[in-house]
Amino acid sequence: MIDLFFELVSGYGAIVIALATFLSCLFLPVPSSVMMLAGGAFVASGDMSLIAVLGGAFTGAVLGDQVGYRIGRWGGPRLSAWLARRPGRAAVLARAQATLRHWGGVGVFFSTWAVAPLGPWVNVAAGGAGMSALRFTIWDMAGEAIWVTLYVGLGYSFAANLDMLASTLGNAVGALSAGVVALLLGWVLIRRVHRDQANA
Amino acid sequence: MLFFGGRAVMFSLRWDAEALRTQPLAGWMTPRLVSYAHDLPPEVLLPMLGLDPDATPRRMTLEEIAKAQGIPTDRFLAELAARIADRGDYQ
Repeated sequence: MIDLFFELVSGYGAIVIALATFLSCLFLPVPSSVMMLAGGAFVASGDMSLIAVLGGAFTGAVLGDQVGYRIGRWGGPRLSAWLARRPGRAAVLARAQATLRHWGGVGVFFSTWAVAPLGPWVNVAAGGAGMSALRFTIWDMAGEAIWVTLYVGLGYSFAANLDMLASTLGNAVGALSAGVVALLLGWVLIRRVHRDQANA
Repeated sequence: MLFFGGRAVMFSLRWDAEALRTQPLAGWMTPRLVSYAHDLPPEVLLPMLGLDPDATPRRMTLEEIAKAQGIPTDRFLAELAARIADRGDYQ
């Protein structure tokens, strides 16, 4: 299965890497990390240029994130208006939006590389919460630069053993993302229990 | 999380054991990647594939080369692996 994605990279080059990072930043389950690893390996072997691989992956990712942010921006107000029809929800929503406005930049930064599977959600949430486009773009580009360099660099360094590297990393990223989701859910639960106790 | 974490640890252990072993040849690889991974200059490897080092396009895969030569990919890869294994004859 992984071989198919390696083959796409050798067959179509940087364009297919750009397309993969673009789509994976938009909720589509494309293994863009595997394709960046392959790109890095082909740079090491001299089949592809470093500029093309890095540039393609970075451009695709940043454009994909922008589309996600715009979707949140356009869909956000309608969704918020619907949620705010009940006063209780309106208060929670207002607080969530204020929090994301305050801390959102850092959240966007880490969601692009450290917990990449969460990235698409954060993009839409940031747009929906009304984070400024400039702030979103700056944090996003900084994060994507790390994401892209990390994977292409790993592919470059381990070109002779790409199969093993791809499966090891896939599992490590899965564990990290599942951990972050678990922590977030736990935090929501604890808050809810505290609130219920305060109300009782 | 435990599932992925466990798998990550398992793969890391295997990775450790196999770190020094180059992965087997596959159809998606390019001659240059093989030559990089096996520490064989392209000038040595490409002739093994019946190709001219100066006239071989980049990013052509072993599978495409096998097809162009009318050889089943599996056989092509097995023959190449054997030639790399006793490359002493070719240097």
